Amino acid sequence: MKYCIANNFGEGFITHRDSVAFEFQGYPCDIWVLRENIGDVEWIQRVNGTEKTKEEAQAILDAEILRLQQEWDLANPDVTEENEIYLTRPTGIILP
Amino acid sequence: MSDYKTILGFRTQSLASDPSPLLEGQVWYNTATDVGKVTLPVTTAAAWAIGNNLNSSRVQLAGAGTQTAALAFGGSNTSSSPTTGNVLNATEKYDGTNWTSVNNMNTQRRASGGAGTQTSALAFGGGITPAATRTNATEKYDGTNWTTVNTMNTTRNFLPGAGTQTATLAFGGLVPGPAVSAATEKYDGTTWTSNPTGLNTARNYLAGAGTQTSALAFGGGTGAPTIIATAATELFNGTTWTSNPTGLNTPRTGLAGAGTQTAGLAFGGFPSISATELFNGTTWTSNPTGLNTGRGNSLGGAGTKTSALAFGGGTGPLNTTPSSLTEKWTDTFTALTARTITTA
Repeated sequence: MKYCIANNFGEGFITHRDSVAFEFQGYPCDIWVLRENIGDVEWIQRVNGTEKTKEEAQAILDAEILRLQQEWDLANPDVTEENEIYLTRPTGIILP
Repeated sequence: MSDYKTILGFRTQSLASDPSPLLEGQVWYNTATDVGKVTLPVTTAAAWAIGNNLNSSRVQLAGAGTQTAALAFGGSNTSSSPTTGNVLNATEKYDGTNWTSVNNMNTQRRASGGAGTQTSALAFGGGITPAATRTNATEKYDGTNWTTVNTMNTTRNFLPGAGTQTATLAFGGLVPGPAVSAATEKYDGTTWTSNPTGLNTARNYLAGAGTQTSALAFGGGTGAPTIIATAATELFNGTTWTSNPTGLNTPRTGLAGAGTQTAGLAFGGFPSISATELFNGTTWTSNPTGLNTGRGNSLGGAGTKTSALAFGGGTGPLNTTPSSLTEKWTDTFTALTARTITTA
């Protein structure tokens, strides 16, 4: 796997051909994980991305999750709305 | 060694540029690039490509239309809490490349149903506050303005829709309690009528596709308040729903759908599911690649099985972060391509 930080600029960021070649998965903090294949480094350069190690990417993600959890705790001291059966405190994400 | 002329009895053409249109099996020599070329059919696998973002990030939005003429409406910009954030009436049009903000709906709503086209859409039901208040309000869009029309019979949110503005089908959803609903209603352009029978599997947060007389319902959550993701797939014939013997390969809630009853597409869902599945009227098949960013919380969907659009929805842990992401789906296709002749 390749790990990078890249801002999604929209059209052309991940083309149909890119998607088939690298099987991307996007995460918070503009983290993109892609399957290693010929042209992966060129893709990262084309989108002005910055390659990271898995550990670096995971650390960035962990910090964001912590921030979201703190935000949640401040905003939701006692969530009782019956409709909100889908919202619970954010949990961690483990990168592949 | 035999050459091309010896084998076929004629020489290849020398051209300054590649011919247009390409003909299968055509061989030529490109004098500009100094290479021999041949036209071959090349099959490209189905995949999602990233498109330009929505102007307004949101979860629990609704959609209508096609990949090149879509409509996104409503939703919520709530980032992490049901007690903060805003329910939206914002509407955007997509032209195949860009989203443009247009006139708002009259009722701010999230998790509503949607149906129709970019110039003739319908919005119905939904939640009108960040918390629990639901609506049965219905609005028509004529390509420029939204107009409030007759209400639904069953007030609910987290429901999908199918069909057109004048022949719409609404099914499932979440009703006060909270409880999941099987209720099915038909809209004829003026009035909603409750169908005598509903879904076989009551559920909310599901997806739909097709028309009022040939609809498809798939996925969703069967429990409330404890959610149980389902793979259940049902087919509507205009009168009754029939449970399909097989369901989605990946059970999920908060997914989106596109297409028809015999050519459907399912994508996204909770939690951060990227899986994309294709329905042929009988079975669902998982595509090897999915959305480039897995997301749920009722992302928007539009289009067909061969050419669909995914927009917005929730990313991040538990899919609560509103997204403006847009992705364009193109099914497997074969096209004639000029390939350079090389020697092994």
